[in-house]
Amino acid sequence: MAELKKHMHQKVTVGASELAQMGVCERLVVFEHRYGRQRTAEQQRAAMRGLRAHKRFYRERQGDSARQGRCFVGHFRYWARKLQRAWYRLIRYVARWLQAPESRDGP
Amino acid sequence: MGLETVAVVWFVAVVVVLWWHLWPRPPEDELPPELRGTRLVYAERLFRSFGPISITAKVDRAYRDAKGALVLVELKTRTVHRAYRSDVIELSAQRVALMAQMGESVADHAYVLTERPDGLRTGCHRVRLMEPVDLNALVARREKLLAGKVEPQPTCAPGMCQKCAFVRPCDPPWR
Repeated sequence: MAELKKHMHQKVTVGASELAQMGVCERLVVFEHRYGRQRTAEQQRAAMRGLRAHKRFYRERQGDSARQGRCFVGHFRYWARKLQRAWYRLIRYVARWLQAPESRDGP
Repeated sequence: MGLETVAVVWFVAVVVVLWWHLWPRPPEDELPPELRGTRLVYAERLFRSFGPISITAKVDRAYRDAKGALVLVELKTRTVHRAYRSDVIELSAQRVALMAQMGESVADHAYVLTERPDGLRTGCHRVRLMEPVDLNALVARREKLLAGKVEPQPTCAPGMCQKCAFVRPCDPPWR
């Protein structure tokens, strides 16, 4: 801590994900500091996937609350949404299956 | 047995099998055994520690275990089913920020929940978190790196360089 204060004359504010970059590559930390964050197309797609996954993960918490019996409305909404999602997935699956009869019938 | 009966039975069987495969699993099944039946206390909430080093961290989830301590859970989307050092650092930073802001006890271990890009959860990894003093040392090293006072080390995983946007100016030794 004393060493830290010696090197820094002002307050240090850092985000957890920025700090986590130290575990990936120190050179990347320095490059991003100098030139800003640059992402390849694949990294951008991965970031979007991550955001979607986190939104879903956040929505799922309602199931956790419902499991604890704290919220009946939350419980109902959670399972209604699950049912709806499963139903649409089933319909999509059946529709795909019906649209490709030639692949089922074989040559 | 008539043809209609056979068709109906066949249809019901197909629907049941499809339903079984497509029905989303309840979230509790995806949690580690330690956290099943525990209470979710925080979800997607931002915390900040104060002092000479201020760490801001968004906690994906925090559960209260049987001993009253909070256990952190972080979701990661990746093709490989494993936890990395960066996950440990991120969770350790979350722990420090949460403890500082809320004054609550946070367990020195946490879980990384991995999910494949297609949305399938692949499992949980229990990780041991860093001590706050080690985290502060890491912050200090980062500040020195940004100030140009120490030489930054390349990653120890050459595979990372293939995906990195800075691979040309960086020119790592194994390239």
